[in-house]
This record gives sequence, structure tokens and C-alpha cells, in this order.
Amino acid sequence: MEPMKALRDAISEVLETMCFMCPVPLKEPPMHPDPGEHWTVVELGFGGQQAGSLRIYFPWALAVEMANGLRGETDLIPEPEETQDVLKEVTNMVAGSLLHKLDPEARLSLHLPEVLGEIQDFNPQGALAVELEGHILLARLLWNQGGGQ
Amino acid sequence: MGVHALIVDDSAAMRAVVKKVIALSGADVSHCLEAANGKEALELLSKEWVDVILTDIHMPVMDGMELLENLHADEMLSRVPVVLVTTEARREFIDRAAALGARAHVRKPFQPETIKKVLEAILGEEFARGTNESPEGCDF
Repeated sequence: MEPMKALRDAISEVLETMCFMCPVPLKEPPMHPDPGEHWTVVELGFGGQQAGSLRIYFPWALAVEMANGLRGETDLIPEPEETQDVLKEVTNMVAGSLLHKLDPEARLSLHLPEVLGEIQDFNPQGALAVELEGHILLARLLWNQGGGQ
Repeated sequence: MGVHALIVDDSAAMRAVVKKVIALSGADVSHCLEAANGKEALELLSKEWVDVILTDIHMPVMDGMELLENLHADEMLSRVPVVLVTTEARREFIDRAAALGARAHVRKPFQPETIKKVLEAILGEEFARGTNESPEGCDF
């Protein structure tokens, strides 16, 4: 399966199944993501015959909604650590689902997800973008040198 | 019925999700235990008996495979059914887990119904209200 389609499908599968959210894919990421938005970046590496990493950029307001969706809560404001925990688990599941689609024989290994931090400005070109609850979620699949598809 | 389950996952949110799924099956989850890794799980199991263990594989400190090895090596604890709830799908891991006594593998993300049916199949009529068919998303 083509990697970007696999990534799009993996994001949809996880968010629909676990967070009860329906992402809408965008053809292109926006040239300039909302400058008022704070993004939390979570990365998860994988290794094996091909090595690389998945990086997901979560707008914080969306992350809070996602945390409530996964935990089945409404109108609660989770602690930042609880929200980061949910973002790591969502990234873990997206990566697992993605590798399942790209590598049905399951030879690639997943590492533990890591919160890289918060950013306010970045270049979204080349990222996969989906619209979700009025926010844009971005994801990038990075292949290590010699391991690309 | 009350389910004495031990849920092992480094994500507190995922532990809460699994617990909620069990509760939605109609079971009393007030006796469910939680651990953030295999080491914490073994500490709890040295004090309390459980009916079933639902564990992730990839966790810091002690992962799910090492937990399974410890359970397998213990005459009493090896009798506790173990369900893997994980993104791990490598055949070598799943086969090794099955050899160490894991009874089912539920791949994340999962439908709530999948966990319910796995528990029905493992815990039997006391838990089940439906059938014991092999649920979709369960590899064993």
C-alpha cells in the first residue's frame, strides 16, 4: 500500500475507533498553519528492514478533545500530563496500524512514543493533513537514509 | 459478576479505556487492578489473585514479554489467563507469547466488542451473555 494512503487510513482507523472522531483528509496541508495554535509533537521510531519514524503534530485544543474522546469523558479539562499520555497512545496506535498496512508480514518493530515538545511555527510541506473538529492535524512519515519507499 | 482483572499498560488512558470496556460489558470492575509495567504487575500479583491479566507488550521498566516469562515460570501465576492488548503484531512475538501461555491477542486499536468476546471466551459463562465465537481482531 502507498505509504501516505496507509498513513491516512491508519489515522482514520484509530481516531474513529478509539476517539469517536471522523477526520477529513485534505489534499494539501495549509501553507501557514494557524499561528495562534500551539502544536504538540509526538514521535515514534520504528526499525527493522526499513527504519524511520512517524511524527504527528497535534493542535493542543484538539488534543484536549481527543483526550476526552478516548477516555469517554465530556466537558472535562484533563491535566496536561493526561493529554500527553493520550497523544502518545494515539501515536502508538497510528504507528501500529500504519506498519500493519505497510508491512503485513509484521517484520518492523515499534519503539516507545516520545513527546518532542511544543512548537508554534513550522513548515507543513510534505506532511499529511486531516481536518478534525475544526482543527488541522498533521503527520509526517520520515524514512532513514536508504530506507525510504 | 465482578471481574478481578489486572490491566497492565504504561498509558493510564488506555488502562481506563480497557476498564471502561469491561464495565460496559456489564461486569463490576471495582476489583480491577492496574499496573503501569510488568514489574508493578508482579508486585500486585504477589499480594492479590486475579481472574485475568490484560497486558500491553511495549512498556518501560519491564515489558509484557518479560512479564509473561515471569508468569510462565511460576507454578501458580502460570494458571492466570493472559490477554495481549497491543500494537505489536510481529508473528515471532505473538507466537512466543502464545508459547508462554497468552490466551488471546487483541490488536490496538480495538472495537470494545472484541475485548468483551475475548473475556467471554476465557472467563466462560459467568462473564458471557452471548456466544463464545472467536471475535474479529483476535489472532488466537
